[in-house]
Amino acid sequence: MGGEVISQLFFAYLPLITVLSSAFIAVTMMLIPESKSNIRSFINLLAAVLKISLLAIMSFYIYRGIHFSYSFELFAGHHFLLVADPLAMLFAILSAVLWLVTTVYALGYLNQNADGRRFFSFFSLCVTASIGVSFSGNLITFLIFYELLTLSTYPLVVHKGTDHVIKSGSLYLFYTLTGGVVLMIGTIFLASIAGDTTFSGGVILGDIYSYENRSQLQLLFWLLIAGVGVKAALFPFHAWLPIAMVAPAPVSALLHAVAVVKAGAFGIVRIIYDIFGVELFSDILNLSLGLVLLSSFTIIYGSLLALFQNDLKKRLAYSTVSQLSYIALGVAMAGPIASIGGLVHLVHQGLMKITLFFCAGNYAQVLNVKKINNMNGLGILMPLTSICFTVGALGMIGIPPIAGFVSKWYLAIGAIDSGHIFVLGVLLMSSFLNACYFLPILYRIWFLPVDNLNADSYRDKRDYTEVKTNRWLLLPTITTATFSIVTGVFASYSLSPLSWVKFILTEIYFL
Amino acid sequence: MTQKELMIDFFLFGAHFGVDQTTWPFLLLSLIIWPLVFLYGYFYHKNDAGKARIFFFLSATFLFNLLLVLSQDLITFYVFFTLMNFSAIGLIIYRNTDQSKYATKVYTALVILGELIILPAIWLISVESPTLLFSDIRASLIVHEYKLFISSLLFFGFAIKAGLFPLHVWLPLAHPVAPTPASSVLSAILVKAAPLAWLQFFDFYALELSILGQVIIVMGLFSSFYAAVMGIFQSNIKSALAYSTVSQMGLIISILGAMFVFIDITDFLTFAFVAYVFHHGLIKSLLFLGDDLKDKLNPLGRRFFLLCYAFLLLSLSGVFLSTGYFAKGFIKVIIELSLVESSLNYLLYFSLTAVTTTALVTSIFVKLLQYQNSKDVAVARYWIWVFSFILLPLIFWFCTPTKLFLFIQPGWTSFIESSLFIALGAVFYFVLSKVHREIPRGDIVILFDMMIHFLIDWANRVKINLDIKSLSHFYSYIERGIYFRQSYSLHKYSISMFIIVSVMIYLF
Repeated sequence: MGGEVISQLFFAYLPLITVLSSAFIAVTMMLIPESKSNIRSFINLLAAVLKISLLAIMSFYIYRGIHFSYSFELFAGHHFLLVADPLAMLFAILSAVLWLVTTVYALGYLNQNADGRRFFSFFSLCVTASIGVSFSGNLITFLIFYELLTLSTYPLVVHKGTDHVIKSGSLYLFYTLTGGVVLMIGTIFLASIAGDTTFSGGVILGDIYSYENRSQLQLLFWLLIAGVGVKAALFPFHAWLPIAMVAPAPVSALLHAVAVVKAGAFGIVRIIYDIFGVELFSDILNLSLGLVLLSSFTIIYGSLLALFQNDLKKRLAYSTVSQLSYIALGVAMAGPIASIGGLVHLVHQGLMKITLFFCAGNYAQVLNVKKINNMNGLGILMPLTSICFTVGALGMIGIPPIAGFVSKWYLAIGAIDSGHIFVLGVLLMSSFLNACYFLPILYRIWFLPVDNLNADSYRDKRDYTEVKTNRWLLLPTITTATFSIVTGVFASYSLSPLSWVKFILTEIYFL
Repeated sequence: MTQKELMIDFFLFGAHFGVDQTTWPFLLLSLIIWPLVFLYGYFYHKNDAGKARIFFFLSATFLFNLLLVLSQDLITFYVFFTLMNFSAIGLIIYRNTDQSKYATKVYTALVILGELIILPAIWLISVESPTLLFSDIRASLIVHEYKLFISSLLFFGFAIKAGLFPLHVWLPLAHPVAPTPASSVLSAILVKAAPLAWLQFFDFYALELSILGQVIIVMGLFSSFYAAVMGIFQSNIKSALAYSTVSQMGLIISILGAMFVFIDITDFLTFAFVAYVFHHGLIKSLLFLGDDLKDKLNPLGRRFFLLCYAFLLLSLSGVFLSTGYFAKGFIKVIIELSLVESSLNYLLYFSLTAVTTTALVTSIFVKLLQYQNSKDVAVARYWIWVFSFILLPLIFWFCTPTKLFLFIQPGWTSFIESSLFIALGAVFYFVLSKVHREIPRGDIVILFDMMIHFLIDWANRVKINLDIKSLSHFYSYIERGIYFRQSYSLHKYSISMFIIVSVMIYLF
């Protein structure tokens, strides 16, 4: 982590302020009575906008080479360390922007439902955790926020509170907590051999590396990857993701398309770049190929399973399993170009997948359509939502100029560049499978007439045109769909995610 | 022609637009055909309920087509190629009948297949190339380790768009169901994206891929003969015209192969190749638009129209002094200049396609004669058509490089030669017309359908819920008798197919 570090005055506290602001909102939410929903909405939105502005100011300084850092000692020489470097900003800005969008969506979604107080409180806590994950400067801090993320999402997953939901919720908790424990063991392991868990770009482990502790380090790596791999839904730890789809739509959209799963993927990135370092990871310990194979397998496996789902959200969940591994794949190939593809997919996949989940939520909320075979003719009933869904789906397949194309392009070029030619086959196969499970949905939406079997459930809602769909539901959907196109079309613009990712990697690969 | 460039940094990975020597005829073609189609479409769709929709998709396709032709770098080209293909879906699905849905499905599946073939190729080249500009791409393809593999991928990927056998099935399915202006665009403009792509990617002289060239020649010629025969057995004029496009594109593809093989004449052949593409685009757009007029004219207008239409049809087979005569003439004369011995062999087959083409166009003309005069005359459309009939060949004269005309001296020998082939073609048609057989549109698409059906069958047996049922309508088509005429059986179809294919193999 190069760059000048500011550790004085107000600036040093910026990462802490950014993290704590959401925690503060979480407490405030608890205090506001259930009936005062307008005040709740206002505070939530204001906080989200403020957070984005804070992050914008920080990234302006970071772009000029100034890093923010804040720390205090926890115990025995281990620090609570918050660092805002370019990589942290990537995930933080993504979380913050999508948080704003999802807050708007959640306000529309939970309009009449009870327990808005509990929901928004834990929702803010989740954002605290995910911003915390992104700003963590060492593995211990990372672990703290990682566990906080697990615990604060549980109440959101089981928000509906039925028996089935509670049961699925326990399974979700079982998976993620086990992952957390494994990560903790890994952290203790690292602390015991290295003494320091700071994200140092691989300097610390590089110094203590010797031929004798080679296998020890390899074990450590796989332990850590298993810990974060649960959230990143790497095979064989992916099973919780489809189960967690019992959550309300905004939760599935933000957490299980972006925040939670990306925290896992982001963990993989941190472990490779900042704990092991690219050189140790690929050249010395030869861990690259193993992770490439694992993520390639997950990509194909997730897509294949998605093909067999009839529940829209489940199909999207398996698609997420597959798409997430693109990030791990890109980073694991350990070449600069492949890494661009992997990291930029962190943002691009988030934008496209959240759009798809918003649309799924709209269909479920407005017309009570949850199964794919009930989706016939939705394009006529809900054209705007369906257009957004089409954008997201085509982007997932990798159709230009939507964002997904850009990440796939860099992944493919990077694969050739780093000598993993077989990855091209994986990418093509995945695109093909994506087309196989998304195009029939689009065909149903646009070209099939509204099904007679389902006509009964539509009849009372026939006059429920798109215009009457809650604007709070529609606005975020259209916004994220637009973002998915804009980030693709203007990929080379200096403020695009792609340019920021290139900026991150100049430090790691000395481009 | 001076080269103009426009660069937009922030668009995609940095976009370059411009026109150069190879692309300007394509640009010109787009700029001629599109206004004609929009003008004609204005009157054609005047009373349509969904005309906003069709004009939206026409405009989108137009925009993407224009930008495609102007693209001077790989990514921009690929992006607009894809966007153009996808926006054409809106043109094919327009009528929203079962047949148009089926055509859309086949078309979309082939578009995706094409993407999957083209993508690895462009990935592999762009890694080696310093920039994504076509000039650099061409240069780095020449020295690329896997140049044969990449060139084959590029050829086959774009050949789907050009309708090369056996992936030509979308053309005869899509053209009859699309509205007339749209099918005119499909045949005159969209399929021409493939020749444009090949010219942009390949430096034929330096590539030295004569093996690939030979394969291309054989596939192109086969496609040309095959589609012409299939076209004769069509009941619908537009699907017969679509087969004619497949056949003509096959011929164009074979010229592409010749450019790979006879590298001593590649430079001249490129001009002739582009001229042929240009000629076909002009003629085919008029032929498709004319299909709409067949039953909307009064007796006098109809007589004149039939005369014009016959001339257009015959110019596809190269009747004396038509655009086809010159376009084919350029190629023949240039190939005769080649020092490679097998070029004469190629020339023979090239000339023989005139026979099958004539047979096909005769069958189209005979079908056209079955229509009656009408009382409500489409006056505006008629005059637009007649005006373009006069204008478009003139454009061909003025825009073809003069040096090409220097090769050709129209005289008695060439008149007799072209007439001879046409006479032979007419005879061929009358022989074939004795076989009272009709082949369903998209001939071998049934094989693809059966494959998907077997896949679904298998999935059902092993209790997997596959949601690709919507991809195949094979059985429902049989049930509703849309796909097959009642008198028609798979059995008979296979036999006639077998005979046709074996005759063709024998010919080679």
